[in-house]
Amino acid sequence: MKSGLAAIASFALTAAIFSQAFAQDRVVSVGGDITEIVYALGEGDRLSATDSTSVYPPEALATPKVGYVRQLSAEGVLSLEPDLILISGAAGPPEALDQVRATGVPLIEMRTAYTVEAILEKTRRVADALNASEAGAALIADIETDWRNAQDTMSTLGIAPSVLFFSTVGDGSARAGGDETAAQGVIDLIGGVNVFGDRTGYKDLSLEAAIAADPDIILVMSHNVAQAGDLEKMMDHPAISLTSAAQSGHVFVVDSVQIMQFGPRLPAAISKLATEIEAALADGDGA
Amino acid sequence: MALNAKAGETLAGLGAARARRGRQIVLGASALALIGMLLGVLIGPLSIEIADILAVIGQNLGLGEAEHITRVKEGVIENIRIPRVLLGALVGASLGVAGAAMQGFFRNPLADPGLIGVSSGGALAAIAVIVLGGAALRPVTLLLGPFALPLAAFGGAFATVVLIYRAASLDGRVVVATMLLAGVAANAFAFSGIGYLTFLADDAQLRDLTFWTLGSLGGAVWERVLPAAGLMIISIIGILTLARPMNGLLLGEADASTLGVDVEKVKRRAAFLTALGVGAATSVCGIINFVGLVVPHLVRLATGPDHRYVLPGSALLGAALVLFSDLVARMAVTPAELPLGVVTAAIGAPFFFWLLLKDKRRERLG
Repeated sequence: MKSGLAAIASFALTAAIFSQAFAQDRVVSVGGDITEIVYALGEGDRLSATDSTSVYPPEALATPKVGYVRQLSAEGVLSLEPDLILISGAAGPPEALDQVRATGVPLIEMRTAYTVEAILEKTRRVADALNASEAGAALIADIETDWRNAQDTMSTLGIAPSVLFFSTVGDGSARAGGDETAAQGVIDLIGGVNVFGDRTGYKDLSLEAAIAADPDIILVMSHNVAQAGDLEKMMDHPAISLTSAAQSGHVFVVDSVQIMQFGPRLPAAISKLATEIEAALADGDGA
Repeated sequence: MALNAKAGETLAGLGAARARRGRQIVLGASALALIGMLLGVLIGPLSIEIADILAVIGQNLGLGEAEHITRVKEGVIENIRIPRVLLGALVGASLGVAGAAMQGFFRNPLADPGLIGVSSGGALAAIAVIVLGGAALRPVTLLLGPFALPLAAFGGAFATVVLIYRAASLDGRVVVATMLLAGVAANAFAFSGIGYLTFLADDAQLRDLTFWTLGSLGGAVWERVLPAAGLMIISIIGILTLARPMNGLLLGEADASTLGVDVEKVKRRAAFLTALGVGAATSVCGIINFVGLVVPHLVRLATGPDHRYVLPGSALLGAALVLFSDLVARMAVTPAELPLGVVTAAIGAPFFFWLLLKDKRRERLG
């Protein structure tokens, strides 16, 4: 895996040098997943700006920021005089995107879907747009390998837990991830069943509903855990504290960037998460 | 103000001085609004030479070609800055003049469209169209096309004005405490509705809502600007023609009717036109507070209560306030952008405080 990455890195570097002559070098990337792909392709130095959700790799934090992915300013983005704009499907508002399109600056919008196929598709399109097809092919191969390994690991685990995807917002009020969310995508990937899969979006959650749903495990996002302080405090949240999953410690942390953004590092992280879950469930009384 | 034996003379002199002052204020406000529009076109995150801007504008007016200018700069001027400045001016003028009209009509300086729930009533209806437009309200959106959003917002705003007025008026007088409390209730109801619709909204709709509840001119694309602009222009002109009868209303409804003012008609028109302007403005740029409250206050402070000056002055100063606030919104955190509502509130709220403190001091001295 490490050597694979190194090979890709050197490959990408060659590709980058090779393509420099005819490539765009003022690229704006909007969406943490897209930015991560650009860096993974070794093309990070061509970025002139990213959005506030682009937090990985650390170099991305040092780029100028065009604001929140959903609150873009058309002229703000254009003021960077980009020759290529790569945006995630979550970007908006639509009016700003229309204004940018009207100026003829190439704007490539990725489809938002919470599957590994969508990650591969994003990778291929970003690589094509950056004229880095070879590095793209290598990165795609790497993601596919990681995903096959993850599937192998998970098939030996043979788990199909019922899952509550728990998140907190702003004031600490509780939400449960339903269908058509990244949360559902994660649950599908680990082979679980969403106890609130009949609802769409993130919906308010009460303790009673959580107890009634009685999930085998609860998933929480790492940035929510950081806000709460630690995992212990997160489990004490009134909306889940009395569920049997929380009582037995079957609460697992999903990385908000590595997994929830559905970027290239997802397969490896999913495999690790699934292993952790299996170990805890086999153990009976959790981590 | 003490009036002595020579009251008649003094009053006549005062009247002439007031009229002169009123005209000066209106002229000054026009100048400010014009400067705001010019700066709005000239300044932006992307630096563009003034000559290039003039060339693009000239080209649009059919005065020669602007071939040497890049498509990006042309697009920024034609599709971003100009619609945005026009929208800003119209929204500011609508909110300013609607605030002034509402204060005249409720005969109370606290009757601000935001404060008494008219803006949020409009917002609730508009959000209902965004969230339910594809489902339950589909016939409405199909029937009205691009007008669905501004007209729905107007409907919500109008219903709120009528409701508040019904609740607060007693024998032709407006009970201020009741008006404010009814406003609190209207705001609370509207926000519970907005909250429920947010709960129903899917991810893409939520994206529209956040953009929209913070107040911004960022959505100024021609297709959205034009329908709302038509409605706002009708509202602004309509309210301006009400200046004289509204002056009559200042004397109280009984006196106004003896002067030949059809009180009910004036009130109905004022309510209708205010709701139309506030609704249309809200539907394109979300809830922008304080413009309708601060601007008429300022103008009245300078011109006195005569609506022939207060109304146009409020429209023009409102436009200027929104345009300058939008400059700040665009330039403060480039290449990102602040929500406009944040800027108007940040300018408006301290200013309003200052006004209140000043009034208090004057009362103590007087």
